[in-house]
Parts: sequence; C-alpha cells; structure tokens
Amino acid sequence: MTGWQTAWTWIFGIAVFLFFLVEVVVVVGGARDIGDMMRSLMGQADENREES
Amino acid sequence: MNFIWLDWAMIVAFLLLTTGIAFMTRRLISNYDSFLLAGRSLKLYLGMATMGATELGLVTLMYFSEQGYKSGFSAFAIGVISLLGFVFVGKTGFIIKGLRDLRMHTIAEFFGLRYSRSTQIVAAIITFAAGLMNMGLFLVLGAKFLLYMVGLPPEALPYLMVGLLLLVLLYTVVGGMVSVVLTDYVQFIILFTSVVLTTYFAITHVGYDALIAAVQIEHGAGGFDPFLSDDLGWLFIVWLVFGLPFTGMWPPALSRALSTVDGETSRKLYGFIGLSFLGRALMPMMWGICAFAYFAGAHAVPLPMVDGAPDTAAAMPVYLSQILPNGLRGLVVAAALAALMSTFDSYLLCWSSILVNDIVLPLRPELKDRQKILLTRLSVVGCGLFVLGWGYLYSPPETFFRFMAITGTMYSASVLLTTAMGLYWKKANTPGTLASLCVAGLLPLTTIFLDGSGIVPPAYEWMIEDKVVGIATFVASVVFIVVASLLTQKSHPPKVLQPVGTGGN
Repeated sequence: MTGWQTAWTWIFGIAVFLFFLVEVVVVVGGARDIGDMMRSLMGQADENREES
Repeated sequence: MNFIWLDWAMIVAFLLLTTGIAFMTRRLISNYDSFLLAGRSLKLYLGMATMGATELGLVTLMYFSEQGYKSGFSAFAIGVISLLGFVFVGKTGFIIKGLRDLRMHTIAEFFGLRYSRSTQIVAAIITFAAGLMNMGLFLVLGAKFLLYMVGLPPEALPYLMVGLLLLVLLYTVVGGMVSVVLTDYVQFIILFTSVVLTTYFAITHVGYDALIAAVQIEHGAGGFDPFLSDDLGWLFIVWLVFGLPFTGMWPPALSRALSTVDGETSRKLYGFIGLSFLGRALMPMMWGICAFAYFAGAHAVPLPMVDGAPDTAAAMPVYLSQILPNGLRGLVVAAALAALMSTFDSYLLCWSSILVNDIVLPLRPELKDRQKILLTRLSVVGCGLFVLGWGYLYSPPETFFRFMAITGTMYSASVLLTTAMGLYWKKANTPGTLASLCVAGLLPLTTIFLDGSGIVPPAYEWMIEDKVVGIATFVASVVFIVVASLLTQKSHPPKVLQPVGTGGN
C-alpha cells in the first residue's frame, strides 16, 4: 500500500469507530432528554391555556 | 422486484411509528416558539440526535456515494475537511454561540437587528433561494434510491417523488418542530445502525484489497491523492477549505443550535456531533467505491443509463440491492426513508420559517401566532411543490455533491460570511453587508445556470467552473464588505449589539 492508501484506511477505520460511538452516546442520552423536553412543553402548554 | 414480505413489513412498521408520533405531538403545540423551535427546550443529546438525523439525509448518502464512485478514495478529503470544520466550530462557537446568545430565531433575523430591515430581507431571499435550489434535488435522488433498491420500473420515478413529498408534508405540517425532533430520534437510531451494517456488507462482498486494486487501475494515483485527482484537484480543495469555518451552518442545522437551551449547549452540539461527520461522508463514499469495483467486475448486473451515459448516481443503490440479504434490504430502505424524511421535513420547515420570519414578518409585524403557524404550514406545502418541479427540470453539470457545494457557497459566502463579520468586526455596516450579500448571492448563479449550457465560448468555460466560481465568490464577498464598509463609516455608522443573556431560555 502507498502512503495515501494506508492513511485513508486508518482514517476510514477511525471514522467508523467515531460514528458508532456517537450513536451509542446519543441513543442513551437522548432518551433522557426526551422526557425533559416533554415535561417542559407540557408545562408551557398549560401556562398558555391558563393565560388564554 | 427485489423485495420480499419481510422487507415490506419493516417499511410499513417504520412509517406507522413516525406518522403516529407526529399526530400524538399535536397537543404540545401551544405557540409559535413551540411549533418552530420546540419551545427552545432541546438538550444536548436530543439536539445531537436531531442534528445527526437531519444532516444524514438520503440525499447525503446518494451524493457522497456518487462522489466516491467517481473520485475513488480521493473523495475522502471532503469528509476530513468537514470534520476539521466541525472541530473548529465546536471549539470556538464561531457564529452559533453569538446567534444563540442574541436569541435569534433564524440567521436572517440577525441582519434585521445588526443592520436594517432591507438587509434582513435580502439575506433571507438569498438564503431561501440557495436553500430551495439545494433542496431541489432531494426528492429526485431519494426516489432514485428507492426505485433501484426496491427494483421498480423507471416509469415509477415521478410517482415515487409525489408519494415521498406527500408523506413528508403530512407530518411536517401537522406537528412542527416537536414531531420533527421526536421522529428524528427514532430515525437516528434506525439510520445510524443501518449505515454501519451496510458498510460491513458492502466491503466484505467485494473485498478491501479488490477495492484498492480497482481504484488504482482506473484512476491511478489520482484515485487516492485528492490533489492529483482528475475530478477534484487542488482548486477544489482550496474551495472547500474556504468554506471550512462555516461547516454545518446550513440553516436547518443552525435551527437546531438555536433550539438548544443555551449558547454553550449549541457549541457542544457541534463539537460532539461533528465527530460522526467523518463517518457520515466516508461510509457512503465507501459504498460508492465498492459499487465502482463491483461494476468493474465481470459478474455485475448492467449499470442503468441516463441519456446514453451510465447513471453514476444509481450505482450505489443498484449495488446494494444486489448484495444485501433479505430483511436487511428492507431495514436499509426504512433507514433511507428515515434519512429522507428527517432531512426533508427539517429543511421544509426551515425554509418556510425563513419566508415567514424574515420576509413576511418584517413587512407584516402585526401577524398573530396562529396566523404565523398557518402561513408557515402553507409555505411548507409551497416549498414542497417547488422541489418537485425543480427535481424534474434541473440536472447538475458535475456530480450532485458539487451542485450541493456551489449552492452551499451561495449561502455561506454571502449570508454566513457577513454574519461573521457582523458578529466579530465592529466596522461592518449596512452598505458593506448589502454589497457583499449581492455579489456573493449572484456569482454562483453563473455556474449553476451557465456551466454545461453551451452559451459560454469554450475558451472561457474555465471561468464558470464551480471550483473557480466558488473561490472567487468567497474572495469577492470579503473584499466587498471590507471596502464598502470602510468607505461608508460616516454616512452609515455601524450598530453594536449586546447579548440578551448568558444562559437560560
């Protein structure tokens, strides 16, 4: 393999690893954030209903 | 037809899930902020999910795979530059933190605050025009992918385009940003998992050594060295580097940053999700390279033709349809639908919000929240219809990625560059910004409409090449804003803005 071929092979490996890592972190953390967002939006909706 | 019942079952389950979420979230829409920005309650990981799903569209998979098919491993340079851009924005908070701290809804709103109402409208029109043209190819590319993956006849293409448009319009119009965010989360999971699995199958079918050999035989050193590549070359790399500070700031991504709970979360969002952007580019490019090696082999099915030439955009879906096992093929198409919908819905909502917030509202400030939501929903439908027509009528002169890049330059060299100047250079004023917006908004149109048209004499065709025009646009934009601002400091003294608050809502 030439220098470019070796470099791209390594970079590709790193890219796949980072992609998978981000997926795992986001799936776990995102589930918690959904709960927080729903509570916040329901609170806002209640406030707006009371005001009107 | 390549599909069996298991593939269809996966697609139907996915569609029921996402449209169900859209309808369930209707009751949470209580005002314009909750419709458009999910009440600014987006936290880091959900922000990453929605931005990741939005920025990994089916169109992204298609144009990156086509670029990999045409340029070989050299195309990877695009992904590396994109990663560097995200690292830069994530570290510095360049533009995004400033806009979030000023509590902007859209980027053009900043122009109204920092410069004048007319500047806001001009910036909004350029953003809107560049965005619509850019989005114009989403439907046709998405429909092509589905056509070849499922194995439908070519005559089904227009029907698929209409069907996809109706599907996206349905839940974007109904739910707004809340449904977009929640469906993005589901789509993120399906999409990211499928991309990793598909990459494994794509490479193992051909073999990594065979890939390298095929690229070496066809492209030589240019298949690996982007500076020697026939398709890319150093001018192309310079053009991409000029746009590096503005990576990931296309308005739909920015709207995620503006929907976060504070400016610091916006900055972190870019830093973390940027890590996945290398894979977002390199994996579909690898599919394209695998397809290239596959079609170079003796046992390949014929590559579809368009106007007598091989349809390079079709190479990846045709290849995947041949090599993926049953069941996974259905999951990949469901993921592709997820990719198309999560990108398309966000983009539709974003361009519509620009139309309403930055073009209509400055002229009709008395509109109530309900009227604004209705107007946004109507413009979502209008934008969708435009995209349908543009997809039929326009075909780019180079690859699809390069068309995306030049429409991106139309926006970043004008609107983003002048936003950066407005945030970080105190002497930027209205005449300088208007001059820069106009020149950078108009120059890219030369390559979009003239390149390949045969109107320009052959001796001058190099002048309208996308790489040359892209670089010229950035340079001209900087020169115009600096010179015009300095010349008009007395007649138009610049405004100075203060952030609304350092955190909170």
